[in-house]
Amino acid sequence: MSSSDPAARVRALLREALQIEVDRDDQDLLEEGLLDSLGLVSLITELEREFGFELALDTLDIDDFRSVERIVARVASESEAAPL
Amino acid sequence: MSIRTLQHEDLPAAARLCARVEGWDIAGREAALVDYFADIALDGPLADPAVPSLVYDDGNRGITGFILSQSRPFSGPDGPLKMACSGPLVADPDAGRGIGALLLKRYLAGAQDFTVTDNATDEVMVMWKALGGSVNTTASVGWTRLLGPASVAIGFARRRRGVYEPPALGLIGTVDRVVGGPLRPQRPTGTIEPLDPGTAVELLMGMRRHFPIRPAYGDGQLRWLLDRLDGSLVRGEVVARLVRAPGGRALGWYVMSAAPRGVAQALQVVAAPADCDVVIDHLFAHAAEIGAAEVRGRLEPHLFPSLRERRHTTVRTDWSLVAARDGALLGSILGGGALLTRLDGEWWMQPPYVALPDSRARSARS
Repeated sequence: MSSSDPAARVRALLREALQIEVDRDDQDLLEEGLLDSLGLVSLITELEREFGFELALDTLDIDDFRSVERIVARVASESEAAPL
Repeated sequence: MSIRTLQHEDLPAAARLCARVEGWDIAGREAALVDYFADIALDGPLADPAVPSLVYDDGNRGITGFILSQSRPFSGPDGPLKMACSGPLVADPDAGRGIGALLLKRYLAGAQDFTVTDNATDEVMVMWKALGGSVNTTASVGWTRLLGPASVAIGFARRRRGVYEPPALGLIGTVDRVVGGPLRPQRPTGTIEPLDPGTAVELLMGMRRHFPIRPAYGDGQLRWLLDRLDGSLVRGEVVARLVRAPGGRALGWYVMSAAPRGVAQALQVVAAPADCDVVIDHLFAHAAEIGAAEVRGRLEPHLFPSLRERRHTTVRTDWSLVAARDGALLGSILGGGALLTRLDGEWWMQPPYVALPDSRARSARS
């Protein structure tokens, strides 16, 4: 994934790794049933690989993975410690 | 919202959540369930602050998920090891998906050397593997040894109708005695006696060559486990017996639950490979004396050579899972180098109240 736009990278990751196509960046992946428990585990694994960080385990919050824009915000906060 | 360590004050909410998710009516029984969770995860000798139980605390909704935890001290080839045993994992389905996955991810990243669970559903197994864990393939196979064919057949038919109590004695027992003659276990050599946990711990210390990775129960831990079985969902009489050779040498032991015309469950069978035949023969003979219709257990590498000579058949069982960051340790466990039994897993760790008429019955037993 070559884009430098984090949202584009997350959308591409969702599409390629999880076969999830999102219509909007605020689309609720959990509420709409696009992301289940296994999908969430896969998403986290792919995010850590794609963005090169290990998720801070003491601040795991399900809402951080609810939409593309929330995921991007979480990636940004993780990346403050480990820049993209 | 965050994942944090389970505290005593979380237990009532955790009990209510568990009951709601499982569809249990706990009216009048909540206190008993709270006590049980506290004993398992916070106050008992196998609760370990270094490998804590976790809750998912949603600021507005409160507790929307939890995972109970116990630990076991183990001896390994290079020194002490800490095993974490993942207990019930419960998540509120109304709070959105994924809470269980986050709890499990956090739990597997704890301070333990390795983690096990043995009561896993297909969904948990897939999550576990996605988080880097492995299936303990051998232990994911169940075995059964038939003792009373008529009781098993009738019991199976009754369970399909949702009746879980053993069938009544009478004609069934007569049929079992006549038809089941060839299935009756051989009379074993040696003797049995009630298991003293201290003796078991001493025996384990001498089994390093056979089990490089083995439990190293501390003061009172094995005794607590045996006592705790009485409050679990395990049905029937819980018996733990030390087996001695005719000359008096201690060979090993077994722990099982058994009920007349019901299923005897082997929870722990420990012996050096050369002594497994005798210990298993005593287990089967004891189950037959109690009147069990069959003995069930899970396949463990040290038991397999003896079981295959004793008319066992395999049966479906839940997934047994293991995770370790140390690849060599994981390889050793999966390769049969560890003594892992149901007693050191989640299998027995079920809330007790569904097996009891009400909380007063539990109080009367304790």
